[in-house]
Parts: sequence; structure tokens; C-alpha cells
Amino acid sequence: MNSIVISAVLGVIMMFSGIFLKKNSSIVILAILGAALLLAVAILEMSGFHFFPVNTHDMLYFDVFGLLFNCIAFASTLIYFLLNARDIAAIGHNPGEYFALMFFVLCGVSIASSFNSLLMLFIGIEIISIPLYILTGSDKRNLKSNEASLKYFLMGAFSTGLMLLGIAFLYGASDKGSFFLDDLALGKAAGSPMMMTGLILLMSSMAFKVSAAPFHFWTPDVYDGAPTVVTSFMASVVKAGVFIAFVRLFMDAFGDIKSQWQIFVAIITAITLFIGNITAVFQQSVKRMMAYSSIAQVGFMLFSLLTLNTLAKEGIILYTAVYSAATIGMFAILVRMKDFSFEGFNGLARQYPLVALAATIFLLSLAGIPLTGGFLAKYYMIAAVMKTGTYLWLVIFALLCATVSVYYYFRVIQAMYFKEGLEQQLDFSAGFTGILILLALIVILLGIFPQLLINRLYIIYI
Amino acid sequence: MVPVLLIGIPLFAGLIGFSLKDVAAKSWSLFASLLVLAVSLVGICLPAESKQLHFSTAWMGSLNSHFAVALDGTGQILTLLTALAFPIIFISTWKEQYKKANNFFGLMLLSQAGLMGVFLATDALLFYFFWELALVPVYFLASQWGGDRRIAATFKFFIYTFLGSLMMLTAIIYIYFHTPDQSFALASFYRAHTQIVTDTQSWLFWLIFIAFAVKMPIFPFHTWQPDTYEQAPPAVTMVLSGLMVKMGVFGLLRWLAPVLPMGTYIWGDTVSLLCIVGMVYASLIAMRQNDLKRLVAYSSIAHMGLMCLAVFATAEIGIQGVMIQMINHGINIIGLWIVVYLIEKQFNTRKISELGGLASKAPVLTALFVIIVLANIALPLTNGFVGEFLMFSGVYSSKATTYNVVFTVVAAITIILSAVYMLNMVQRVFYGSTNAVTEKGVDIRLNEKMVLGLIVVIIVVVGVYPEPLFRLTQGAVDSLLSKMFVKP
Amino acid sequence: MSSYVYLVPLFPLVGFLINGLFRKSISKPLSGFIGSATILASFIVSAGIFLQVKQDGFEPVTVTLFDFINAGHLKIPFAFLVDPLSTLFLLIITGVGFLIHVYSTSYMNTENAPDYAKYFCFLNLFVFSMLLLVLGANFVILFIGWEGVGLCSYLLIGYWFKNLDYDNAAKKAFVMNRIGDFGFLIAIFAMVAHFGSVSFDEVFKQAPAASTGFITAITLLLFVGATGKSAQIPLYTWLPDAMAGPTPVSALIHAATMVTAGIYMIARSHVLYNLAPVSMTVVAITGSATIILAALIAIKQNDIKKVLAYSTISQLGYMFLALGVGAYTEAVFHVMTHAFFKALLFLCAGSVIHAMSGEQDIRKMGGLKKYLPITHFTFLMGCLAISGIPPFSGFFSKDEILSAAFEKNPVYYIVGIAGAMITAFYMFRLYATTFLGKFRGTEKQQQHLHESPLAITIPLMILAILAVVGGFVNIPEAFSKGPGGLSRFLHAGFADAESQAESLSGPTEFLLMTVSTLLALGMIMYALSRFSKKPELGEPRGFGKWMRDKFYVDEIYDALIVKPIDALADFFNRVIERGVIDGLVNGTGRLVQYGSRQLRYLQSGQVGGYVLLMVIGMVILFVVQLFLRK
Repeated sequence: MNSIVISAVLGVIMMFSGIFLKKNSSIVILAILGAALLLAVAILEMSGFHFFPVNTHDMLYFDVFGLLFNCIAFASTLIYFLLNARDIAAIGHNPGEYFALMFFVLCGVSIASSFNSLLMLFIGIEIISIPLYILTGSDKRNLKSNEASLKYFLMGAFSTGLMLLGIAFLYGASDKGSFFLDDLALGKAAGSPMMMTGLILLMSSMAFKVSAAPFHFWTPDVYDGAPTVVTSFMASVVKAGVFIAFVRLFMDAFGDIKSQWQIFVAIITAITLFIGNITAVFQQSVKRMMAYSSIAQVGFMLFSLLTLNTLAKEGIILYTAVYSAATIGMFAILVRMKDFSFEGFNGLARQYPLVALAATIFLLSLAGIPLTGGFLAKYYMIAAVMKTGTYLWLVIFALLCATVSVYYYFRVIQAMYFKEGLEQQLDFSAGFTGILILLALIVILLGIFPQLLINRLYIIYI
Repeated sequence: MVPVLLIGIPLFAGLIGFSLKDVAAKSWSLFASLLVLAVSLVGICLPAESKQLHFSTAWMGSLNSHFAVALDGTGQILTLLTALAFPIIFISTWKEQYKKANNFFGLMLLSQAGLMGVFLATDALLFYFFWELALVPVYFLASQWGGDRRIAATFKFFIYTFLGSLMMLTAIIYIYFHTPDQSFALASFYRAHTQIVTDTQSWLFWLIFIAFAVKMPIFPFHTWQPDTYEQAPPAVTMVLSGLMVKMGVFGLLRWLAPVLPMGTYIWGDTVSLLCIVGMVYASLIAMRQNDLKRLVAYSSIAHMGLMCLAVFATAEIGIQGVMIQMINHGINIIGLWIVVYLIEKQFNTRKISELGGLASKAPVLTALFVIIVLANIALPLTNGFVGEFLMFSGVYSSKATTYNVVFTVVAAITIILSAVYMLNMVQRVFYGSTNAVTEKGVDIRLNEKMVLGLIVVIIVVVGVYPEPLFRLTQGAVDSLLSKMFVKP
Repeated sequence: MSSYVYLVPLFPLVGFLINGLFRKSISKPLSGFIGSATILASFIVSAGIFLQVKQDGFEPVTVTLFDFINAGHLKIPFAFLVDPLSTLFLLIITGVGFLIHVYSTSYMNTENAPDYAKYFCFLNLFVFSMLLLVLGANFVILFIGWEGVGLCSYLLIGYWFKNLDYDNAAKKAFVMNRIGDFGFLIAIFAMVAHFGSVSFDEVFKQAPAASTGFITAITLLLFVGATGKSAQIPLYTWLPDAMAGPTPVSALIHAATMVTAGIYMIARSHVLYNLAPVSMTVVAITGSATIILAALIAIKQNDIKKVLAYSTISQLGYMFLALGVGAYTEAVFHVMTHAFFKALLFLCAGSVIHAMSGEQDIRKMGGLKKYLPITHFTFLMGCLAISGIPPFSGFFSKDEILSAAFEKNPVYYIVGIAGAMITAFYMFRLYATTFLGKFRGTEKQQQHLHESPLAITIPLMILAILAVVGGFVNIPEAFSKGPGGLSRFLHAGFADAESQAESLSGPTEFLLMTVSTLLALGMIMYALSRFSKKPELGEPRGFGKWMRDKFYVDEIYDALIVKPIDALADFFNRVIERGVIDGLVNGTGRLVQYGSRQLRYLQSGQVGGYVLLMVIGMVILFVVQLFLRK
């Protein structure tokens, strides 16, 4: 509850910050402090300090899984602010609002990570989505940005419709006529055509939100059109948050009737991996490549949805953390680049060795090379499937795709290290570089000692 | 403690190396590699039951994976080779000027750490970690300091091997879930096959085998090799061909044959066929090469084919031969590369057709090189003979296949072919009269003489008195055969 | 004494090391001295061993130095076997070897110091390997020497490495030997597999138990090795080219010692051969065929060394014929006598070439009799010996082979006689063309003509004496009561085999002797009368041309084996490797690229299109759902 309330409050504060804080820099600092505070309360909540004893009538259910994820999301946001707050403020005229919107998104995320009823799910997802529509278009004078925003809104509305429809079906199907996750797949409701219809509708709309194929089409255009710094936020924290909601929904609501819907997830996974990886190969702009790579990554995350066992649960936590870190890192660099094409990275290692090193580590992690968190994240996903002993073909397919992914991730590395490039004046301040390296170290640390994060799942104070 | 040092010294020395000045980095890495050599020699001397040879501590508890390393059996031979090879490589390429030398040597040491880890790990997941850790630095080394087409060539190599390793990873995870005690420990892996039905073993086999086949490489997974060897800088080529390819054979011996005995047995004939086809095929192609590096590369493919063949013959002497040959091949091929490097450095060409008559200009180089070549074509009283003789005998006396005679005869054709292409090369490069290119040729310097001399001494000593190596490997061979499936 | 046998190969090894390591610093006389002295030392030791072995009741001893290979159940000690057979070879190798070393000190004098040292270094290495070959107590040690001598032959043929033709000859020799070794090795692998051992006594003990088919296979494989090393059909073509090497090398390696390794190996493993009649027949037939073929070719050769080379091949044929009919003693006997007179002939040839300042074509010689008296006389002795004229050594050895062949199968005898006649003919053609008539060379050469120095002539004389009296070590029973000395000496070794080759009754043998002698004499007369006055200098025609061109065997091999293999290799290299395999690999990459380019068109940018695709996706899910319902 802490994080929900605090994030909302912070949102409001940031909104009015513009009135009494004139200098951008002070707003930036405020935002960073806010994020830090948010992280703090989230950690405290994990440790059993509940500041707001509100009775949610079981509409929300705070378990360590959700709370731990909140911490991850807020920590990512904090680092994201530390790296890019200046760029966020630089998007337009009233920086305060952008931060405000982001805090609202975080509020939505913390609802989505702890909902226990479809209504809460809906509210959470919408609280996440609506600010994003605005953020996408926040670069007002940029047509691409506006177009992206509009596209996103239209299709988002469509998927929201699907979700409501799905919820309605499920409500109707459930014996007691309730929105609580536990009641949805009970008794004769289980596997009834009506329930399955609702399930498919719900799955589709969630797939849309996490940009899983074939519901991903908005992603490349929106990610590409939106201001890079916003894309970073969408591709990391938001995507992770929604995905956690996705997992949570199916784990709590339909976990018992897995066998009935696993096949759908399998299909979606296969398509997502294929389209994400294959299409990424041809991209000429790193930004757009990252958009497709984020789709490809979702393909791997979906394994956890496919299996829903402990490995999957542990894995998805690790995955979201590592993935967010790497993505934020890559985008942070991208924000400061002048030229998003692969050639733009040529010879970066000569000029900015540390930045290049960090970028390399992020890319290796995304590609899943051992000693980086990315490897273990993928490892958990694969292991989760292997444990069930079914869907081995999907694993092999995924690995083939992973090999393809090496191709486009390494193109950047090759550009940075093995190609000669022009001198370019880029704004990589010492502090920026330092945080980048820190982030890279985290990625590696998680790659060697995952238990640092995963063990948290089993330390219960609540 | 010894295995930890073997991995730790190069690892940290490498990390330090990045921060040093170029010249300092060079000396530093040589020092580190010599230190590793010393440690490994100590390790060889220690009695097998010594506590110092084993180390294990919990790691990634949630995955039941341990940081477990041990210096025993097959590992001993290869760690020794690795420890020996790096100083030789550093000294022989001492005069080479690298841009950003500190990064170069740092990465070299990292790759040594990776190799050591591969040969020492007794935990499957750890093994996989090092398997990749050895690959990545080499990838960077080759594509940063290599030839003109380096980026494409080494990238092909990387993707190729990466795909292989991922396949292996899947198999490892699968086996892990079938180990009696849900652990990655080597011992548990050796017990897993009781839980895995033969049909499953037969497809698991390929998942793992492809990873090793790509590394060795076995026909038809070999096409990355000539390009990569051609493009990589000399020192890296030596690491690749002298040590990295051994990872494949080592993998077969420790992580495939004993882990999936039935799978290995079922596919024995198929794999042997691939090996033999590859041996003859590569030898024939080697006859047509005009580039020294490509020639050596193809001859290496032929030799590795024989090793793989001998492994699948599952005959005691054959395996024994493989053990010996792993070291011999490493030493010999590094010797060949050194000479190729010296020639290229002096005349900046590797084209056999452009060279000639070196013997009159560089008699010492010629003498040493001819000996190395003779070792490479397995002439008696050179180390090559001992290994190849045992391997062929092993293949012939194999119980694992009914085609043992055919296999031996066809494979033995390469004995003739290797003589043909090697002597052709010697003749066209060293004999005859000098031409415009080789006119100004001079003999090799002292440090080069010393390195090549050392290699020649090893060649002859091992060739005349291989007994110590036999004693070193006997135990490993026995324990290995006890785990492999041998038809009664 | 025999416990010191390891000294015998040790001395040459030391010589090899000294000459090899200090070739830069060492002076010519010194390296020559070291080269020769080491061989002399081993000769002395060998003589000592011989005296001990000669005593009655001597049992063969095995001297084990150390474990060479000790892999699991396979134990291959580095061991030497001292018995009559090996001892005899020790004497031949070190004795003849020493003479040739001495000869070389003068013959190679034109070389500069390092090369001179290199020469002796190689020559010592050769003797070392050859000694290993005959001393080895198991097939592997034998094989070590076997390959070693092959290597030295390669190095010495290519001694003048600047000349690419010589290098080609050297390579040809090595590769052809390798083809033989291929067979030899497979045989060894088979022994390892079936007997679990390669030591002679162990293998021979178990052999009778094994199936005849298996023994036949092994013996044939071993014979393949022998044909390579001892230049028999079909692997003989390297030997004539091997004449590219310095003449003393031709004398030592390509006449006296190395080429007889095949005979030694078969004689050594006669136990196996006795168990495999088929193989025996193959050996005999191959031998006979080689006798005739090589002799015919020799008739029309004009290079003095080529003639001798082909005669060597032909003489080796006799030895194989002997082995094939189970007359092992006779074979070894001929090895010995042949070592004497063929070494002699080659050294004389060397002396001639020396005098002719490098000229080898006999058409440009003639009338050398008065310039080179010693060389001429000794050469004549050699010719008589090889032609089998009593009482020269060749007579005894060849005659015994013929008689053994006769009582095995008269056809062999006929072939042998024919061969003997041709031999007599071409040897005296050579003799007459070279030494008789008048000089046909250039003025310059005539000025330069001179008898060679003592270092060359003394070995000639010693060898000439041996070539004359060498035969008496084994007087046939027809003359003396009881078997000849050599037979008695070797009897221990071949006891089991000799029984079946029981020699003929006196009269028959006399008859055969006279016949062969008369025929040989006849041919000599004919050759002398025909060539002494007007030697044939013109181009041969018809069949003669075929003989001159060696029946085009080299060309046939080239067309049937070398060319096709090259073509295949080229095909693999260009088509399969680049096109197919690498094509597949890169093709996969390109396929991905292409797929990527196509897939990207889905990303049209039209919201309508996107929504449509999403709906289609959902429809698919529903279809699957319905499908599952059924």
C-alpha cells in the first residue's frame, strides 16, 4: 500500500512543483529524491512496515512477489532518473508534468503488481496506459511523436475494450459472479466456453500491453516515435510492470487449469520470438532495433507464463530486473547519441571506452552471454520449461532465435570496437558514465550471484 | 587450492593487465603465465589424493550449482598444455606490436582463465560458464587485432560456436533434472544416465555433440576454422588451434561419453563416419592450399578427426592415445604457427607460391621446422607417432563398432596424404633456389630459436620416452572406460 | 658382449648429434673423421657380438632398454634382439657403411664445411636407423628404423635441395615408402588387436593359433611395406629417381642396405609367411616379375647410375624370389653378396663420375680403362660377380636361389635364368661402353681424367676382394660335405623353415650351375663383342624405345593415380567446401536477412492494418480453442 499511496502523492507534488520551483535542475532533484523515497518505502514495506493500514476488502493483495517487483521497478526508475532526469526535463516546457505522469505510471505499476481482482487489474493497467499516451506525444512540436501518441491511443483503446469484454465474460462465467481472481476458474466455470472466451480476450489485451506478437505492432512505431527518454521508460519499467501483472493474473486466476490455455501462450511465444528477433536483424537504427529486441525479450519472458512454476517465478523477477537495467542503460546512452544508426556507434570505444564497455555489458546481457544477468534470466526461463518436460521444441526454437539475437546485438559491439568512426562530441559527463558503470556492475553481479535478488522472495516479514 | 590458483591467477592478472601501460602489460602477462606454469607443475607433482587438488564451495545456491573445480585425470594433461602454451606464445610473438597492447594481453589472460576453468570445472553449469568465458575474449581478440576480413570471419565463428553452446546448455539442464540428486555435480551427471532412456539419450547426444563438434571441429561443422585462423592474429591463432580445439575433445571425454554412454554408443558409427570423411576430405583440401595458415588449419582438422574417431572407438589404447595426442597436437601445431608467423613477419606473405629457397637463407629455421613437420606427420621417435599409433591401434581393436577395420584402413590413408601436403609445402617454401621475395631472407633470432628449440626438444623427448605421460593419464583412462558403454 | 649391443646404434647416434649440432663450427676433416670413426666403432662391437653369436649353443638374447609404449595392456619395450640374422646384418651395415663413409670423406670434399657436416650427420643418422631396424625386438622398433631410414633417404636424395628435380625425387621416394608403410602399419595394428603384442616371439608364438586368412592378410600387408622399401613392383619407380642423391648415398642406401630392409623384414617374420602359402606365392611371383621388368629396362639406360639402379631392383627381385620359395638363407646370403658387389659397382661409378667431372651419360665415356686402372679392374670384378660367374660371390648366392627356385617350381627357375642372362648382358654393355673403346667425351673432360685418390680407391679394393671371395662363406653342399658356413650360422633362426626348402641332390645342382654359368658367359661374350668396338649411341626403336622409356610406368601412375586425386582435391576445395558446405552456412545467414526484409513489411504503419492483424491473431487463438474442444 505504501508505494501506491506515496507514488500517487509524489505525482501530485511533481505536478505542482512547476509552480514554485522555477529552475529545471531543482525539479530534477526533487524527482530524484521522490524516486528514492518511493524505493525506500517499498523496501520498508517488504520489511513489514505498512504505513497505511487501509482495508482493501481483498481487492489488493500484497505478497512478497509483488512487493519485491515494486522495489525493482522503483530502483530502475531511480537509476533511470539519475541517468536521464535532465533529458526528461528537456523534452518540453513544463518538466514537472512529465515526472508527475511517470509517478502516476509507477502508481499504476504498484497496483498492477498487487491486484487481487479484475477491477484492480483494469484500473492498474489504465493508470499505467493513459499517462503513457500523453508522454508519447510529449514532444509536441515533433510530428512523429504526435503520430505515435495517436496510434498508441487508438490501439490502446482497442485493447482496453478487449480487456473489458474479457472481464465481463469471466464475470459472467464465474459461479459466484465475482471479480476475485480465485473465483474465476472454480467449479463448472473452469474451462467453460464462456470462461475460455474471456480468458482469450484478456490474454490478447495483456499480450498487447506487453507487446507480444501478433499484438505488438504498435511497439516499433511508438517506441520509435516517442522521445527516446520516454521510450526507455516504456521499454523497461512499464513493460516489466505490465508483464508482472500478466503473470500474476494467470498464476492466481487460471493457474490450476494451465493445461487448457498453455497452448495459446506457446503460440504467442513462438510468434513473438520469431517476429521480434528476425525483424530486428534488418533494422538500420539502433533505437528501432531495441524496440524489436524488447519484443524478442518478451518472447523469453513468456516462458514464465507458460510454466508458472517456482523457477518461472524466480526467473521472471530476475529477468525483469536484469532486463530493465540493461534496457535503461542502453537507452540512456542512446538518448545522448546524435545518430541512432549503427554507423553512429562506429569507433565509440576509442573515444569513450567506459561508455562503450558499459554498453557492451548491457548488450551481452541482452544477448544472454554468461557472467551477465541476462544469461541467468534466460537460463531460468529455459530451465522452467525443461522442468515441465513439455514444449521442448519451443526451447530449441527459442535458442535458435537467441542465436539470431546475437547477430543484431553484436552489430553494435562491432561498430563500437572494431570499426573506425568520426570524432563526435557527445555529452557523457563523468557522473553519467559512473552511474552507467555502476549499472553494468549490477548486471554482472546478478549474473554471478542471482541469489542476492532471488533469495528475497523467501524472506517474509508480512 | 591449486585449481583455484590456476583459474584465479590469469583472471586477476588479466584484469590488472587492462590497467597497465602497453609494455608493462606485455611483461606482466608473461610473468603471470609463467606463474601459472609453475603452479600447474606443482599440481602435477602433487599426489592424486592431495586435498590441494580439489576445491568446492556453494555458488548460486538456488540452482544447486557449486563452484567445484578439481585438477585430475584428463584435466591435468590439458591444464599442463594450457599453462605451457601461453608463455611459449607470449615469447614467440614478443616482437609483435599491438595497438592497445594492455587490452590485448588482458584478454589473452582472460581466455587462459576461461580455458583453465573449462578443463578444471567439475560442475556442469560452471563448465558452461567457462566454456563461454573462454570464447568471448578470443572473439574480441580476433576481431580487434586480426586481418582485413576479421570482423566477418570471427563473427561467423562466434555465432557458430554460440549456437553449439546453447544446444549444450539445453542438454545440460535436461540432464540436471534427471540427476538423482538434482545437482550439476559431475558425479551426479555420471549417475544421471540410469534415469534417461536410450531414445532420449540419442537426441540429447546430438545437442551436446554439436557444441563439441563445432569446437574441434568435425566435418561438416568446420568451415569457420580456416577463415578464423587466417584472420586472427598469430598469438590468437595459436590459442585457438593449440588449446581451444582441445576443449572439444575434452568435452567428449569428460562431459559426453561418460554422461550419455548409450547415446555415445548408438551414434558411434555415425560420428566415426563423419570423422573419417572429414579426415580424408580435409587432407585432400590441404593439398590444394596456397596459404600456409589455411594449410595448417586443414591439416589440424584432419588430426582432430582422428582424435574424435579414437574417442568413439572406446578402446583403452585408443583413449590413451587421445590423451597423449592432445598435448602433442597442441605443441606441434603451435610450433607450426610460430614458423608461419616468423615467415610472414619476415616476408609479409603467407603464399606458398611466393616463397622458396629459405633453406639456404635460414638453415636453423629449416631444420627446426622440418622436425616439427615430421612430428606433424607422425614420424617415429617424434611425439606425433606415439599418439597416432595408439589411436589407430585403438580404432582397429575397437569393440564399439563392427566396421573397425574399414575405419582404420580409410583413416590411415591420411598417413600418406599428410606426408604429401606437408612435404610439398616444405619443398616449395624451403627448398629450391631463392626468389625475389626470399632473396634477403635471414635466419631466426635467439629467442625464436629458443622457443622452437624447446618445442623440438619436447617433440623428441615425448617421442622417445612417453612413459611419464602414460603414467599421468592411465588413471583417467581407466575411470573413463569404466563409465563408457563397451559392448561385452 | 651381446649385452653391449646398445652401443652399436649409440655410436652413430652420437656422431649424428655432434655433426648435427656443431655443423657450423666443426671442420671438414673432423666431421669426416667423426662420421667414419663412429661407424668403425660400431663395426668393432658388432664383430665382437658376431664372434659370440657364432659359438655353438648360442641362444638369441633380447636386450630391453626401457618401456617405449606402456598403454594399458599394450606393452612395447624399446628392446633389441641379438640373433644370427640381426648380427649378420649388423656386420653388413657397419662394414659396408664404414667403407662408404671413408669413401665419402674424399668424394664429398667439394662441399663447404656446414654442408659436409650435414652430409655426415644424415649418413650417421641413416646408419643409426638402419641398425634400429635390424636390431628391433618387435615390429614397432623395426618400424621406427624402417621410417627412419626412409627419412634419411629423403634427406640425402634431396641433399642438393636447390635443385627442385632432386627434391621431387626425394619426395617421391618418401611418399612411395609411405604407401608401403601404410600396409605395414595396418599389419601392426592388426597384430596389436589380435595378439595384444608386437614382439616377435610373442606374435610368432600365437600365430599358429590364428586363422590362415588373418595370417595371409597380415603377411600380404607386410609385403606391401616391403615392396615400398625394397623397390618391387608396383612401388619400385622411386629408386631410379633416387639416384639424384650423392653416389655414395646410392651405394649405401639404395643398393647395399636400406633397400634390403624388406628382405630382412620378411626373413624376420618367416614364421608368419610359412603359415601363409598364398602370400609366399605372391612374394615369389612379384619377385620374378620384378627381375625381368627391371632387367629389361636396364638394357636401354644410358645413365651409369640408372643402369645400376635398375640392376639393384632386379637383384632385389631375386631375393624376393628366394623368400617366396622359402629359401631364406639364400635370400640373406644374396643380400650379403649383393651388398658387396653392388656397393662396389656404385662406388666405381662414383669414381668414374668424379673423373668425368660430373658426367653420368655412358655414351659420352668410353676407353676409361687406361685412365682409371683401379676403378676399371674393381668394376670388372663387380660385373663378373653380379653376372654370377664362378667363383665370384654372386655365383654362389644366385645359384643357390636358382636351385631352390627350381625345386619349388621350374618356372621360377626359367625366369631366374633369363634374368641372369639379361643381367650379364646389360652389365657388360655398361662395362664395355664405359671402359672399352675410345674416349667420346669433350677435350676438357679428357684433360681432367685421372684416377681417384686413395680414400676412394682403397674402399674399392676392399669391396672388390669381398665381392670376389664373399661367396665362400656359404659353399653349396654340392661341393663340400654338409651345409655351408652361413647356412649353419643362420640355421638356428630358419630351422623351422629350411626343412621345406631341402636342397637338391648333387648332380642336378651341378647341371643347373653349369647351365646358368654357360648362359651367362655366352651373354657376356655377346655383349663385349657387340659394344666394345661400336657402342650403340643412336636412339632405340620399337621395343627398345619402350625399354628406354621404362615402359611408361611413371606416366601410367601419373594418369591413373596422381591426376585423379589432384582433380578430386580440387573439386572438394572449389565446389564442396566453398560452394556446398560454406554455402549452406552463409546461406542460413542470408535466409535470416531475407526473412527480416520481408517480415518488416508487416510493419506498415497503418493502424487499421495493425488492428486487422491483431484480430486475425485472436481469431487464430479462438480457432485453436475450438479445435481443441473437438
